[in-house]
Amino acid sequence: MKRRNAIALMATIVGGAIVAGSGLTAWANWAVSATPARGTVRAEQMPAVTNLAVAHAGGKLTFSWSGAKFASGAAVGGYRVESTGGAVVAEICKTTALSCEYTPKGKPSGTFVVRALAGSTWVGPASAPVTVVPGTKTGTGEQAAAAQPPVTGDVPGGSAPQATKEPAPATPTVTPAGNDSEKDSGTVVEKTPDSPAATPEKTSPAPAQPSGTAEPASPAE
Amino acid sequence: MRGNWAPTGQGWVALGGVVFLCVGVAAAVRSPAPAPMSRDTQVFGIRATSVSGLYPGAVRRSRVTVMNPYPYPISVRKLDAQVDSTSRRRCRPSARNLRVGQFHGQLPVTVPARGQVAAGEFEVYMPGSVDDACQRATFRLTVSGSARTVGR
Repeated sequence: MKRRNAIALMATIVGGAIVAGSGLTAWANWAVSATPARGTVRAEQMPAVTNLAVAHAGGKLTFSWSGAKFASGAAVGGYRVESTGGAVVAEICKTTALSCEYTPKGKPSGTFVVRALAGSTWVGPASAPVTVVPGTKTGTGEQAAAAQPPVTGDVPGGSAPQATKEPAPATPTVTPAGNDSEKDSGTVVEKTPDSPAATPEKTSPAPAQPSGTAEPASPAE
Repeated sequence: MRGNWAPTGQGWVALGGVVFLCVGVAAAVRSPAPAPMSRDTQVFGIRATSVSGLYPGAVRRSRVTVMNPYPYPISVRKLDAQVDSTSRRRCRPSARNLRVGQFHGQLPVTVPARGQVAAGEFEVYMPGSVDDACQRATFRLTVSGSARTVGR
């Protein structure tokens, strides 16, 4: 009798365990995790600004340029015009528009570039430089400046500026503006060649940081 | 001798072993292990689309698809994404440079057996404070998730 009871007890336990085990498993939800996946996010690059032009009228320089866009087609956040004179880079104006004005203290001169801006730190490459050179007494420079429209700093499809309009008289004879008032009358706006040979003094061959042949456009009067 | 047999101490141990064995066998019979096993952890697949064209202030979305390799449905409960690394040393994978925003999608989502489902999208935002060194950088995101089996 005891043996029969023991066998019955064992059978009950084993059977119960089988039922319970399989039932619990059937009701359970297995946790499943994922193999981590990789995704990539690619950032844009700041575009270069093209068609920088400088117009000089009444002692005031007016800069204008074409709007720059990212490769995705989005517009940049703004623009900054800089005066580059050797290693010195001075901010002339900062705007979200496509033009800005600047009134130098002395006679307008210098080499200028414009860069696109985005966010608080992204700065684009410099545009092709444009140099504003005081004219000479001969009057040719004055006539040339009066007769011709402002010269843009770069041409579509290329960043290298073309040859200067008045190479001989207007080149880098950057005079201290304050002590040569006679030359104020004639101002030539011209492109600055990237080639160092065309700008014999104080030029840097690096195209990305074109150093001007003129001092920053805020000479002391 | 055998007339009044009852489990002794060893007998109870043996009985316990039999019980555990039975439970294990029952579990194995009723719940066959999923075919794709990684160690003892079951896994499912996630795919996140690549995003391009980010600049300061821009927001983009990366679409997430979950794939179920099992012969039964799973319910994806959670999906996470974080910026893991970048291709440029001076552009750090920090919130200053790129942020993974909220998930746009309905969770949990049930993925049919051996099927796949577009679970939603992660928002990726490039703040205005992003470093200049991050121009043209490629940020790598790691997307992870967890799920449970359904109806098992």
